[in-house]
Amino acid sequence: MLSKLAYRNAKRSLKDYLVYLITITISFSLILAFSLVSNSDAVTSLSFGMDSFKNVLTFVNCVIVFVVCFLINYTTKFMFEKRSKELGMYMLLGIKKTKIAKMFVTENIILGFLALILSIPCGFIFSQFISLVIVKILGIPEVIFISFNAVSIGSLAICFLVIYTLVLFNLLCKIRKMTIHHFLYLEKQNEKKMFQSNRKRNLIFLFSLVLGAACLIVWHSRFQESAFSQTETLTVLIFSMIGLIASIYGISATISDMILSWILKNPKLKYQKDHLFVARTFASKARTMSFTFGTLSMLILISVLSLNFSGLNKAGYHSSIELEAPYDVTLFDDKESFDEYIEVIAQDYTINETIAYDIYKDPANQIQPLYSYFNDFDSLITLSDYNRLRKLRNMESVSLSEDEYLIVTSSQKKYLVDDNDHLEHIQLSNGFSLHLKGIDTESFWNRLNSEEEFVMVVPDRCIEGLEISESHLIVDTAEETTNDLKEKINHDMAHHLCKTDEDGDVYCQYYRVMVRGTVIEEQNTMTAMLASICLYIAFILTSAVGTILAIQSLSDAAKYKYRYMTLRRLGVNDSSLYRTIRKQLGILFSIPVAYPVICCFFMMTSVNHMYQFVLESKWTYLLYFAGSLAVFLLIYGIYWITTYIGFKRNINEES
Amino acid sequence: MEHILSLDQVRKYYGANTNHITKAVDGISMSVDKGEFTAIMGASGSGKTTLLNCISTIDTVTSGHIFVNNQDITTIKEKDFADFRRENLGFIFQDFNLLDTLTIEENISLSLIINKKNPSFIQNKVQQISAKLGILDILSKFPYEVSGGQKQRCACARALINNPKLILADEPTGALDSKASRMLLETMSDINTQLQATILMVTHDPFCASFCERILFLKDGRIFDEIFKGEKTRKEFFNEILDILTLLGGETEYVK
Repeated sequence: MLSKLAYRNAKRSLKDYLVYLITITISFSLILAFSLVSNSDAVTSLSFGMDSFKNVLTFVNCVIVFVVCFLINYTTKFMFEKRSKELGMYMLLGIKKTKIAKMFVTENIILGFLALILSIPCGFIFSQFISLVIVKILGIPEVIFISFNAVSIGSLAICFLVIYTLVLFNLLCKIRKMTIHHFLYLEKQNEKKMFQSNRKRNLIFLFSLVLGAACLIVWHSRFQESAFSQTETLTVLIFSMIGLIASIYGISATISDMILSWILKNPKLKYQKDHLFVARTFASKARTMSFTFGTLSMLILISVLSLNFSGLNKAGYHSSIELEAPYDVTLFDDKESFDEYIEVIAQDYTINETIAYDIYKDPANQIQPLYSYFNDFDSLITLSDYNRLRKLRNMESVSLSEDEYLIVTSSQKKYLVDDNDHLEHIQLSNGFSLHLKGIDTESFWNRLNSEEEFVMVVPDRCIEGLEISESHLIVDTAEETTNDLKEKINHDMAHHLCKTDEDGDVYCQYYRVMVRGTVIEEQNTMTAMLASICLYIAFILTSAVGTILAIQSLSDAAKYKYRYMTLRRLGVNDSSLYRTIRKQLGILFSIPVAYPVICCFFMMTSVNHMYQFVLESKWTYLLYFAGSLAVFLLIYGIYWITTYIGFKRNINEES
Repeated sequence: MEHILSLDQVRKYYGANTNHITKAVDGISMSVDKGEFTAIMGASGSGKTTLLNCISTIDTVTSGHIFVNNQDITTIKEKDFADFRRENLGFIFQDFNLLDTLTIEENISLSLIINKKNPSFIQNKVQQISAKLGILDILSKFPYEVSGGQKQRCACARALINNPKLILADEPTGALDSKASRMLLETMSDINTQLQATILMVTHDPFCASFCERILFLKDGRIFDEIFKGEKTRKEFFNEILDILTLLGGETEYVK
C-alpha cells in the first residue's frame, strides 16, 4: 500500500512540479551532454588543446552539482513542508515515522529517476548540438557525431547519487527531529522573519551598500594597466568578489522589506491602483524569503557574468590572433638558419614572401627602465624594415624625418610611455639625437621583439654602430597554415631549436617559432571551450533561479486562491486581476535581478578597461553586456511566462 | 464501569521558558467510560483542542498523566506512538484529512492494511462499515469527487474500522451544512449505541453536543461544568447546554 501511495503521490507531484521536473531533466541532460562531448575522442582530437576541456569541465561540473543540489534540496524541502500535514495524518493513522520517511524518499527517488531516465535521450540530443557549436567555432566543415559512452553515463549516475544522497540525508535528519505536532502544524508556520527590528535591517542594508561599493572600487582598481599584471591581483579580485557576494546577500535580504515598509507607510502610494494588494501579497514573501533572495541574486550574478565573458571572449577572438600571430610564420634564430627554415616550410607550402629583419640594441637604455629592469638596453628596428612589416599586413607606410623616432608598443603598456617629457628628445648611444614623433599601438604584435613589449622605429641611418640583438624571419604563405606545420618545424629544425647542456639534458626552444595556424587552433579551442562552458553555467543557474521562483509562486497560487476569489467577488474583472498577477510576478522575478545586473555592469566596465584593446572599440562591451542581458532575460522570461500561465490556471481551477 | 480514558491533573503550558506563560490546559482530571459519547465544549481558546491533542498524542503534556485503556500515554516512547495510535485511537477531523490520492475504499481500509490484516477480511469489513454509514455506492470514488458529508462519513468509517478503544473527533461538523451535520451526528450516535464505540468529541456547537450523553465545559483551561443527558429529551438537553453557555459567556450564535 505504501508503494502505491508513494507512486500515486509522485504522479500527483508530477503535475504540481512539472517545472521542477523539466529543470532537473534539463540540468541532468546538460551534465550528460557536456560529459559526452568532453569524453568524445572525435571532439578531443579536433584540436590539440581540447583535452584540457575535460579537466575544466570536471571542475565546472562540481560547481553545477552543487547548484543542482541546492535546487533539489530547496524544492524537496518545499514539497515536504507543503505535504507535512498529510504526512502527519499518516502518523496519526499509525504509520511509523521511519516508514513515512521511506515513502517520501521513495517518491523523490521516483521523480529523480524519471528525470534521470528522461535526461539520457535529451542529453544525447543536446550533445549533438554542442558538437555542432564546437565544430562551427573551430571552422571544421564535417559534422561530428557524439556517440554514447559508459563513462559519461557513469559520471551522470555518480552526480545523481551524490545529489540525492546529500539532499535525502538532509531531509531524513530533518524528519528525525520532527514530532507529529511539527508535521501537523508545519504548514501553518512561515519561514522566520529575518530582521526583527527595522534599525538592524537598515544598518545591514547600509553596510551592504557600502561594502558593495567598496568591493566594486577595489575590483575596478585592479583593472588598471599598472595594477593588472601584479601578482596580488588575483587574490584581491577573489576577495572583492567574496565581499560583493556578501553585499548581494545583504542587499537582497533587506531591500524588498525596506521598499515595502516605505510603500506601506506612504498612503498616497499605498492606496493607488492595486498597490496595496500587490505590496501586501509580496510582503509575506519578501520578509520570509530574504536569504533565498540572496542566493538567487548570487546565481544571477554568476549567470550574467558568464554570458558576458562568453561574449567578450568571442569578441576578442580576431584581435587575439592578430596580436599573437599576424603573419603565417614568425621566428627568431640565427640568421644563417633562415634558409633552412624556409626550405622546411616550402616543402608543404607555397611561399609568397619572406622578410628578415633585425632588432638592434641601444645601450643608452632610455625607455627600457619604464618597462622592466630585465634588460639594460632599448630595442630598435629600422624604418624600412618596419614599413615592410606593415606592408605585409596591408597597413600604410609611415614616414619619419631624419631626427624623428616612433615607439611601437602594446595598447596595455602604452600608459608607461604616454606623456613622458623625458622621451620627447632622446640621444642614442651612437650620438644620434631624435624627437618622438608618436606612439603606435596598431601595428604591435607580441613577437615583433621577443625581449620586450616595445620597439623604437628609427631612421635607417641611426642604427649605425649598434649591435644586433636578435634576427627575425617572417614567412608569408599562399595557403593557410595549420598546426601540422608547427610540428613539422619543431621536428625538422630540432637541431637548431634544441640544445643539449653539459649534463646531457635536452632543452628545446620551440617558442622561437610561431605558426598562425597553431594560434588560430588554440584560439578556436579556447573560444569553443569558454563559450560552451559559460553558456552551460548561465543556463543551469538561470534555470535554477527560475524554477525556485516558479515553484514558490505556483504553490502560493494554489494555497491562496481565496485571495483572488475575494478580489473577483469585490468586482475586480479578469483583465485587472491578471494585470495584478503579472505585476506581482514581475516584482518577485525582478527583485533578485536588479542588484546583480547593476554589479555586473560595473564589473564589466572595469574589465573592459583591460579588455578594450582586443575589442573593436571601447564601447563594444556595452553591446555584449546588452546581448548577455537579453539572453538571460529570454531564459528568465520563459520561466516568468510559464509561471504566469500556471498561476492563472491554479487560481481558475476551483474559483 | 471500565474507564477507557482517565486524565489525572493534566497541564499544558506554553512559553514556560519565557515570562509569558499560557496555561492552555490547567490541571484537568476526568474520565470517560467504555461506550460513552462525551463532548467537550468551550469558547475559542478555552483549551479544548489542546486537550484533545494531548489525549491523541499529537502534543505532550507539561505535567499530569493520561491513561488510555489503563496505559499511561505520557510515558510512551516516541517510537512506540505509532503502534499505540494504530491499536487504540480513531480520529475524525473538521477538515476530513482524507488522502486525496486514494479512493474512499482505500482510505477506509488504510489502517487495516497498515495492521497487515487479511485482504478478504479487509474487504468484508469495509463493505460492512460502509453499508452502516451509507457510503457503499461511493467506495470507488476519490475524495474530491464526493460531497463534504460523504467525506466525513468516510472519515468516520476510517476511524471505526479498526475497532479503536477511543474515537476522538475534533469539530467533526465544522465544515458541514446543517443537513449533513445532522446525518453525521445521527450516524455517530448509532455507532455509539450499536457498536459500543467510545467517542470523545470536541465542539463549540450546542446542537452537535446535544447528541452526546455527557458534556464537559472548559473555561481558561479548567473544567467549568459537567452535565448529563440522562432521561432528558434532546431538545431539553440542548436548552440546558444553551443556559450553561450563557453562563460561560459563550458562543450562542452557533445555535441552529
